[in-house]
Parts: sequence; C-alpha cells; structure tokens
Amino acid sequence: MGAIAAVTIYCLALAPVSQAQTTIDTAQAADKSLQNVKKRGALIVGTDIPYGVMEYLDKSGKPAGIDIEIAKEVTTDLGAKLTLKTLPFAKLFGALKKGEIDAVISAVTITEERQKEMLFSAPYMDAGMSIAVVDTTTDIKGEKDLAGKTVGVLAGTVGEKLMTESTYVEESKLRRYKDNDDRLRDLVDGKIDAAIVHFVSMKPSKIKLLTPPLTQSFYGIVTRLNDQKLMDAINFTLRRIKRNGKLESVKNKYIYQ
Amino acid sequence: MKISSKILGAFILTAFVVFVALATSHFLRIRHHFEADFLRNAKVLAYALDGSITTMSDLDMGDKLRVTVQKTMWLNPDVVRIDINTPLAGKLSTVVSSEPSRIRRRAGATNAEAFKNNSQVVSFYEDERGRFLSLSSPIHSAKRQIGTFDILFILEVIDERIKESMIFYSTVTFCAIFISSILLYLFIRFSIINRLDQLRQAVGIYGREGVLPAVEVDTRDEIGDLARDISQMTKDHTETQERLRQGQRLEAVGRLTGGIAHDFNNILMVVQGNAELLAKKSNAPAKLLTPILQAAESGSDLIKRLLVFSRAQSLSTEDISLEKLVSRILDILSVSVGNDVDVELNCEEELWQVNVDYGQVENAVLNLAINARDAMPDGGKLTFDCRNITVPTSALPLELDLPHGEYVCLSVTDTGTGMNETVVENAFDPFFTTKEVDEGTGLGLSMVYGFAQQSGGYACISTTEGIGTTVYIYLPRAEVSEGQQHDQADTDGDKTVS
Repeated sequence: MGAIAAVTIYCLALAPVSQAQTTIDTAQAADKSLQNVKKRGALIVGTDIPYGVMEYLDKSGKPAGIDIEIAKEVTTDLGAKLTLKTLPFAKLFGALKKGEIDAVISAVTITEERQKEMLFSAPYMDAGMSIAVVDTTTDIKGEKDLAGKTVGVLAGTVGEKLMTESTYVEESKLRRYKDNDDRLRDLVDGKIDAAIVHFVSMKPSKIKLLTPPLTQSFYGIVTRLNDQKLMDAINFTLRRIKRNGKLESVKNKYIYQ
Repeated sequence: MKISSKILGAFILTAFVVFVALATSHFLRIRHHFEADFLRNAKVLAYALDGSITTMSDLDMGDKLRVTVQKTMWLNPDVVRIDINTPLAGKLSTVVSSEPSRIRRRAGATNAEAFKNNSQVVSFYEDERGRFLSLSSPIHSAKRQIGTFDILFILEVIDERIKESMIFYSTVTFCAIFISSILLYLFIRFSIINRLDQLRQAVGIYGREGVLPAVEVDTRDEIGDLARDISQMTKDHTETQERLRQGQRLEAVGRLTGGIAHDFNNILMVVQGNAELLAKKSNAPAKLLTPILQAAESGSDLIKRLLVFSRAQSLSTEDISLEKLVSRILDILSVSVGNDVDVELNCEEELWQVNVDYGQVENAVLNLAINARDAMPDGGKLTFDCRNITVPTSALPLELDLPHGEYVCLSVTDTGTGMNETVVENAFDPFFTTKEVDEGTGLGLSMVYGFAQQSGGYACISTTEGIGTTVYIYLPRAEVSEGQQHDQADTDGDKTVS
C-alpha cells in the first residue's frame, strides 16, 4: 500500500506547476530520432580513430578512449548497442547529415557555425589549449615568455596554428611533432622548453599546465539539427555522468590533470 | 459484519488516510525545500555569470562570450540552456545562445520583464521533457544594464531527491503506521472483542440453557462492568422467574383452596346448624352433640384461615398506624416469646398509615412472631422494622411484584436457624410445615401471603441457613387527606376509621 500511495501522491503533486511553454515546432513533433535508435537497437556513432586519448585502438585492437567510454554510457542509457563507424573527421558531418550515422562523438569542438547546422549537446570536455612546461626548471609564466624559447606542437593541429600566429614565438624555434609521446619526452628531457597541449595524457610528474589557458573550447556530442529527442537522451546521460562522477573518473583514467 | 472486521476496516482506512496526509505533507514540504535550495544556487550562478560578463568590455565578444556560456554549462550539469540578450533596434534580441540554431525563438517574456525591472525573474514550468526553472537576470557593465541572460535549469535532480526522500519516508511512515495499527488492533482484539465474544457466548448459553457460565469479570472497565451487570441481571432474572413461578403456583393453589373452602363451608353450615337445632329441640345426649359442635367450630376456623390464604375472605379495611399496632402486639408477645428472645421495634419517623384489615394484620404479625420464636429455640433477637417504601415507575416491577406506588414495609427478622432452599420455595404453600404434627398447621405463612396479596401488597422471604430469616410484608399506604393527616398527628388516634 505504501509504495502505491507514494507513487500516487508523487504523481498527483507533480501535476500542478505548469506554466506557459515554448511551442514545439513541427520538426520536433515529427522527431523520430530516438524511436528509430530504439527500434534498431543500436546507436550508430561516427568517430575518427585515432585522435589522442579521445579515441584510439587499444593493444588488442578494440576502440578505447574518453569519447568511446561516453558513447558506451549513452547507449547503456538508451538500452541500445553501440555501433562505431570510423570516418575521417572531415567526412563525419556529411555522413551525419546523410543519415549514415546517428551521432558524432569525436572530440568535436562546439562552435557557433557548426551549431547552426547541427545540434550540440551540453559541453562534456574542456578542450582548451595550454602551455605545458617542466615544473622545476622553467621560467615561463605565460605566452609572452615564449619569446626565444623552443616550442613543441603537433603538426596540423589548433596548437600549431596558434603558435604560427603568435607574435611571440619565432618560426625557427617551432618544433613540429607527429607523435605526442615523443614531444612530451623531449619536454621532460629539456630538448624543448614548452609544448602547446589540450591536456597531458601521461602522468609525468614534472610537467604542469600554465593557467590561464591560451584558448578555451569545449567538446560536445553532435546530432542532426532536428533530432532533438535523441539529443535530449544524450544530454540526460551527460548530466548523469557529470553528477555521479563517472565523467570525471573517465577523464582521470586517460588524462593527467 | 463482525465488529472485529469493522474495526480492522476502520484501521486500514484510518491508516491509509493518515499515511496519505503525512506523505502529502512531507512531499509538499521537501519539494518546497528542495526548490528553494535549488533556486538559491541558481541565483548564485546567475550573479557569477553576470560578474564574469561584466568584466568584458561589451557584448560583442563573439567567442569569448560563447566560451563563457559553454563553460557555465560544462560546470553545471543542471543548466540545459543559456541565452544572452541585448536590446537591438528597440527590442530585446538573443545574441549568444547555447543553441544558436534556435536563436530567434528566444528573448521571451521573462527576459523582457527582467530587463524592464532590472531584476531577476524566476519561473517554474513543466513540459513533456521534465520540470524546469527559468531564471532571467539583467547583465551589467559599468553599473549600466546592457542586457539580460536567461538560464534554463532542468529540475530532475530535485525530482530524484524527492523520489528518494519519498521512498524512504513512505517506507518508514508506512511501517510505523502499519506496526502501530497492528498493535492497536491486537490490543482491541484481546482487550475488547475477545471479551465481548465471551460475554456473547455466555449470554447465548444462558438463553438456551438458563445457566450463565462463569465469565472473567476481574477488570475494572466498561467491559468488566457489563459482565458484572449481565451476571447480576441474569441472576435477578432467574430469581424473578422463580418468584413468578411460585406466585403462579400459589395463585392456583389459592383458587383451589378457596373453592373447596367455600363449598366445604356450606356443608359445614348445614352440619353445624342442624347440630345446634338438634341440641335445642331434642334431648340427645350432650356427650354426643358437643364433639359434633366442637368439630364444626374447628372446621369453621380452618375454613376462615383457608379463605384468608385464598384471598376470598371479606376484609374490613381501615387506616392503621403499623407502629402502634405492632407495639401493642409486642406487649402481648414479650410474654409468649420468652425471656431468652430480645424483641426490638424500629420504625421510621413519620411512618405512613396503611389501609388494611386490622385483625388480619394482627394475625399476620402474631403468626410471624410465633414462627420466629420457634426458629430460635436457644433464644436470639426478634426485630420488627417498619419503613416507608416508594416503588418508582422505573423499578423492575417483577423484582418486588409490586406496582408503582407507596408502601409501608413491615419486616420481621429473627436470628434463628433460617431455611434451606426447598423450605423457602414452599414456605407460603398451605399446610406446608417443618414443625412436628400437632405443633403447626402450615397455614401461618400462607395466611400472611394471602392477606398481603389481597390487601394490594406483597410478602416475601429472605433467609440464610444458620443466620436467620426475614419476612417482608408490603402494605399499601393509606390515601392521605387533610383530616387524616391531622389524625395521624394525634397521639390517641391509633385507629382511624375510613
């Protein structure tokens, strides 16, 4: 009797507080994104493997990384299986728009231009760029101090672009790496003075990130613009893993903070 | 429907109502509490956001403002949307939004109100996605209001906390109410219902078999009182039934006796009349005639007594003071009862007069006194007691076998051997006697009974073996008139002819 009564009261008491509400447009009313995923029993997620700690193939060849773990959380809540589709980053949005994939979870930075064409979830990851230095030996405290210093960047990334455009860093002192681990090893060994990083994936005790970061940006999960119901479900999972500490533990697993 | 079922039903209903009331009250209280708590944090967040925007030079900061919005959302899982609005072309428009694709739909009523009043505007609402808190707040720069922002919070945390709290509270409350109800029910079951059941069964047995089984009556509460009352009532009822039965028996015997006595009296008159004529007209030897006349005399005397019992004799009633009558008889009695018997007369002050046959009362008192004396061979105490009695309308009429009215009760108490049950049952029967042959006729108490009944009163016996016996005679009070009242006050007026 207690349980029934509790549920009854709970429902009754929830009923009132209802005020003027934003209208639901026709696209949203016809939104079957969530229904389709549940019907299919699988969420098709597009991702560009490898991309640092965000997504990669582990030693046994299975996809791993922060994005993959978040995707698994989402599919668990949806009660669906996770189907990963690996595509080059540049083709991900096209595949999404064509309906080949349901969502993109691939370290996608939230930008205003992208938001006009696609639906973004709440930010799940701080992806700003910072200057990484060796804690014990450096005299670098900010971007200005990079003048005359050797700076390591990953080729073809936002970090390289930032340093190329920087008024303080000399082109001759810029060292372009393909492998992040090599770069951080050189930093620890003193072969370079600083590195421009999103975050430090290993846990070398000597490296620290300077604050404030050079840039701030956030990663979000992407769906088609009208797939609001699927996005609501994704946001629900993100809220859940933010609140219960799961997201933080996933980050701690891969990133040195 | 059994009373236990009704009580159980009432308990379940009461428990449900109490539970619903408590749960509802708890729900409203915690929801209010959680919402107030949430709102407080939301306002703090709004002030912080206002503060961080204020440090920017203006609102045209593109990425920086957008990053601030994203950072706020990233740090606060409950924030599902943030819009920043500024007055453009005379109206408030959204310039930065966490959902730019729907940018034109924003800058609604609460934003306009927040901008107009330069204050935070809060509203709770609900849709199919859940419950929300919308908080619109002004943005300031250099103490100047430059726009507003609208933060939308989803309240699922509150709902989760309410749910958890309700489950816990409901479980605890339900268990507490359930256990209390069970205990209360068991208490009522064992202390009231079971005992009522015992009483009901006992009364049922009494109805069928006329015997009331022993019922536990040791408690000093209403049920105990009821059990005692039922026990007393059944006892009284049994006694009354017995008296009624005895009365009916005496009534029948009286009628039979009266009829026989009347016819026998006629026969005896012939015998006596002719014997007397024979004595006058013939010279028949007196030796033969005298026994005939004596036998006829004895027979006539016997018939008079039988007529008294059968209430068929003619009464010559008058208003009498019983006190005076009894005291007069006592003068005579004191000699006949002997020195080893103490005689005492107690009369109530202002004893009413009775309207009866003087001679019959005298006979009755004498008979009772003689019986009492015979019951006290080793001496004792003989007490005459006269009291005024009013039988109220509410009195059980069968208890005294008397109609409503005023009576004077004359009781004669001895400290003699008392009577056993069989003797008491037959004491008023004519010719019933425990005395030796020739010592008693067995008509004394029969006459007392018949006389009392014929006078509109009643006679009964209370006796305990080894302790003594009391015979009560109830006689109706004389009708009171002013003259009689005067006579009653007169010390010489022991007899007043009506």
